[in-house]
Amino acid sequence: MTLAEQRHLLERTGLGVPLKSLEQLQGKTRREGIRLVMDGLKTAPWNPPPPWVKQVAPAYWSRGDMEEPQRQRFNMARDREMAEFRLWWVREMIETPSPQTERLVLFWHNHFVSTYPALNEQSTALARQNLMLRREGSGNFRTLLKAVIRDAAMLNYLDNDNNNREHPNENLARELLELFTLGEGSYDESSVKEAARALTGYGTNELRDLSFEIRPWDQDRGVKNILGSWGFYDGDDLIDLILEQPQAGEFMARKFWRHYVSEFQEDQAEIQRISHLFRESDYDLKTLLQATLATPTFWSPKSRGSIIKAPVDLIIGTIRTTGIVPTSWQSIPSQLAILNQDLFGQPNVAGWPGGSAWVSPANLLNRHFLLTNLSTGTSVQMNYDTDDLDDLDEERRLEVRLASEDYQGAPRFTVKAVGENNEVLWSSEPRVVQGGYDTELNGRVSNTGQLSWYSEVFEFDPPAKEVRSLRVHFLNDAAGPNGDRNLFVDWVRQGRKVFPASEGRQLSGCPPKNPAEAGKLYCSGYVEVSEALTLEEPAEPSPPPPDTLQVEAVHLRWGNDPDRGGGDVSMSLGLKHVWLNERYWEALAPDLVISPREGYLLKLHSSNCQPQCFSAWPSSAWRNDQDPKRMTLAFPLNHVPHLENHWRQLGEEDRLLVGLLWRALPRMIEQIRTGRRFREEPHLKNWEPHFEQMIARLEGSKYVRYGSATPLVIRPAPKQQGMMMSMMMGAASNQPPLPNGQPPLKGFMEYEAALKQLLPDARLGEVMLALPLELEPEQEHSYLEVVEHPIYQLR
Amino acid sequence: MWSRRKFLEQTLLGSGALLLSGGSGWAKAAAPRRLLLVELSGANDGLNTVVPYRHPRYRSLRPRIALQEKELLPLDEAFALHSALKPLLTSWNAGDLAILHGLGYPQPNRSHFKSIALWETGGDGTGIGRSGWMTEDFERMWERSLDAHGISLGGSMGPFQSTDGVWLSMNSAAQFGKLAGLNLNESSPTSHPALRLVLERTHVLHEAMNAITSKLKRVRYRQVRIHWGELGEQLQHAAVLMAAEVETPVIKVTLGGFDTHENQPWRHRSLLEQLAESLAALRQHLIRTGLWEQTLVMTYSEFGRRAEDNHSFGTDHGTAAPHFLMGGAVQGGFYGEHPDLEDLDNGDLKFTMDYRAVYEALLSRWFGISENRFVSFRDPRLKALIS
Repeated sequence: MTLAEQRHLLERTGLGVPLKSLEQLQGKTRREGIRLVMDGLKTAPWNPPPPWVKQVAPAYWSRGDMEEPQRQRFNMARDREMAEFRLWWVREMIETPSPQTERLVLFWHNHFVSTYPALNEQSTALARQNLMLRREGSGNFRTLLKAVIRDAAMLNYLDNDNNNREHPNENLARELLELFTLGEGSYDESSVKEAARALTGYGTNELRDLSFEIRPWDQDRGVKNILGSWGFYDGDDLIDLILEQPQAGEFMARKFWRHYVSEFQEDQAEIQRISHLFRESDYDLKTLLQATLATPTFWSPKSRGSIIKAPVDLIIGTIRTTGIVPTSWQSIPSQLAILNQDLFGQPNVAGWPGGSAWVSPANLLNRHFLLTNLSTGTSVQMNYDTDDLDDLDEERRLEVRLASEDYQGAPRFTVKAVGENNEVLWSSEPRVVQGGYDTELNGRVSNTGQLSWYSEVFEFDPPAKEVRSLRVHFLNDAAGPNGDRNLFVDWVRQGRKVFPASEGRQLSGCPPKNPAEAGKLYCSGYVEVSEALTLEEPAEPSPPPPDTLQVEAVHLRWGNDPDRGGGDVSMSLGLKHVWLNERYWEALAPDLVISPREGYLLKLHSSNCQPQCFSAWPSSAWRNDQDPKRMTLAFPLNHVPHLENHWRQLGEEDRLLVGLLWRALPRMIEQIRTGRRFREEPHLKNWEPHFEQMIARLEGSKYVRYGSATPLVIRPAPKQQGMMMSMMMGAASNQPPLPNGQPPLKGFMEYEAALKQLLPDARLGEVMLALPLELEPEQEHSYLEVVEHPIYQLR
Repeated sequence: MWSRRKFLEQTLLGSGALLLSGGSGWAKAAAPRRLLLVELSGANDGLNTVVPYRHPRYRSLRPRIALQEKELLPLDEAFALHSALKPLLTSWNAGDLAILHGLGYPQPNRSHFKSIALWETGGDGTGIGRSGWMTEDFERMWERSLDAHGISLGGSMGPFQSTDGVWLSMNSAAQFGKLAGLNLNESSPTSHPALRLVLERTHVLHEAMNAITSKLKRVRYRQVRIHWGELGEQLQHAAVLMAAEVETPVIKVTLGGFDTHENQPWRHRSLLEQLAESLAALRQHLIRTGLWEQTLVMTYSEFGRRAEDNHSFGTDHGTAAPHFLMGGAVQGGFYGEHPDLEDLDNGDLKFTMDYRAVYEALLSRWFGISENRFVSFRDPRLKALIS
């Protein structure tokens, strides 16, 4: 391969043109180059994802019953998770030794679009989707599609959670055919309707870690006519039917072509040939990729520069190419958003249109501006200050997490430690906030989640006198008709103590209307914090008293109207984080039922407990006709002969659970009555007389024999804990990323020197630009000239 | 170095010539017409904006947040404005404020993000459009004869999503000045299709920025005073663009904060106050400068809010809502029918007019694009809307 071919292969299959990767390709043939790319594909990320991604998903199911401030805190914690995950991905793209994996994940991310703003804060679902796309993205297309129709984020995004027999929702079915597999015009409208029926009931279970489930009662099991075939099809059959269509291979081959070969010219015969290979291999994605890279058009000089760089290429590609990391690297997600490539935030299900849309006039302006900034701004230094500070004795380390909106410059701030009588005991040097959001250029941020949060570390000198509070001062407020300079403080940490700004007090020119908004400094002044949370290893929760249910919260999930008449009327309770002796449930959601025939019942459905409700399900448990793995047990207050077996066949420890649940009823009712849902849904009041009767009858029931004197204790999660977790998030992301796994270079001079060393004869333009500079080719061009050249917009 | 002049000469001779031809002249019209879109972001509560105050159900649906008599400005026997909208009364009395009842679309979606995307692209519950609702028609109508097809002064570029055309976003007139100084590189014409595209776009951008910046220089900003506040600032920029005769048929502004799940009474009041005061000030300014006859202001929002209030003194996500249309050429009054409060769909208002009927009226009657994307939504009830 020539140098031009090497850089072409790198830029098309990966991100940027790192010198180290060029070195690896030296002396290699095209074939060997492709082999290297293919062999380097990974199914797992290079950096471990944030831990919450793999933990049980937060209790989304309880959100409907939360009070507004609590709900906002819950949602904000999710926004923080998403921001953390975005930055994690950005780091992954910068650091990974397998950029070919990222190129492919970016493809799937924009193929199976699911966006955060439309997901009601389901950060977990979206982060897991990203991992799924890695796992399946270079395997088999059929397997991938079957994973996609089971994916929590996708099912939510395309409303399949609302797709049921009675009211089919066609959204997922339509996009599956139109955007994911066949393309418009390759199917008829009736196939969309029939495909939607095949996907009825496909949803996720919030009580069980957002796991996939098929709800039998929503599923349409009738015969369908899809793409000309009749059968009792479900979602998997639908995928198989789609993949029998020759258009499926062609559609994907064409999309790969545009992603890897050219956005401006297509070779129909080649695409046909590649799609044939793809189908022959039974939709093996590696075969598809390999064939796409091996096509002569890919290597034709005409194809060079025939793809317009996405913002990711522009920013992350540049960082990987030069090895220079800007100090504002933590704001890369918002820079990408400004250039209209908000990760996890495509404008609609069709994804970023790409190509010419990247260089719309509005984008072009910002692309130039950000590129210039990237090239002229300061870069991180590897022996930067905080490196030494990391070794600091914990007590001497003071960390502030902050962000800013800039206007004609960034905010300056100092930190002060204050003792009795407002005596200043210690004061930091003034510093300038990095990576702020330029309001003059980009307008104000619409929510603080868009800001680029990061921490500044100071060496703290603990004074002899007692420190009563810490203050963060905003020194240089400024505003004009075209912008505003603001400082945002999230928390201050000293030693093992973390001081959230929202718990603090703000003294500034514009005090917050809502005290919880402390820390948003829109005017000069300071936020003062004295309430600390202490960082502890999460203490083993104190064991619950024996034979007692200990829960974090009791919620009302939903309830029907008992006065409505008709058959059984149910109310679903939800117990969060339940302990009983050695047993633990993430969630346990029993139903209270008023049955005209059987009186009052407590029902437990296997789908409503995480993990399993019972140690052993009795053989007498009711099983769903269509899905025998779904079981239900019912425990009446009255004597109901045909339900006797449910109880009789239950093990002793499961009886204890049921007994305690019944006995806890008065306490649970007390709880839900004060909750939001009970207050807001008037028909729930009609349960009151039934509550009374249930409690009265409980006395004479067999359940009273079970458990300790107090059947239920409620231990709310320490408010601190969740707050602490979400606050400390991102603290891990303080270390600047290592481009292509290498220590960042200090600046452009270093890059040029490294380039000269590796390729003594190569000019800058030959490495950095996809096309030769026809004008004055002999002239040496400066780094800035190269980066600002129109050719740099292409790859 | 690449010479800018050389570039311009060459592009003018070569590919650039394409850019400057085609399309009919918007600016050539005697009084070029403009649309000012005002996005009420977060979903405005229609029932407490245009209030069916005599309807017995109104109070029973909203025991906590129904407006009291002193908070109402009756317009007729049936409907009153929220008193915070008092500054709009002048416009109502002058007959240039239209209220369109019950706008919505089939199969409503209650997600902010999804529903606003539908309004922006002219979609409904069965599918979203792939580009902004007016982009195709505008680009076809005025290929390249404008400074810009549209300019967003706040919020997203949502209704201007397009892979073509000159759709700009700016936060202030001054920002353009700043960016116009940016060194956008130019090079010789080329047969390379991708490079050629970038060069064309750079050229178009240059033209637009130079034209807009030099026009803006002629205007004294201080002459225009709307009202401070998020919306007032944007409207002021809009007024500056209009005064400078910047050629652009549509300008978009945004007022956020309408997602009033709790403490609605005071939050909604202050938002409506801001809306009414700054729109009234803009109207006055445009009347004074003689531009009101050629300006049409339209509010829109992702959806309305639920008919019943919630127990946090707020309202949750709903469906249909009324919207305002203002302008010198607007035939004031009510249009369409208010959704029936006795006939709710699961607690939600049923829409009585498809919002795309309004888009159709704007495109055909205001901009004279009679063959437009929304012809099938044409609604005779809007026949008299624009004179």
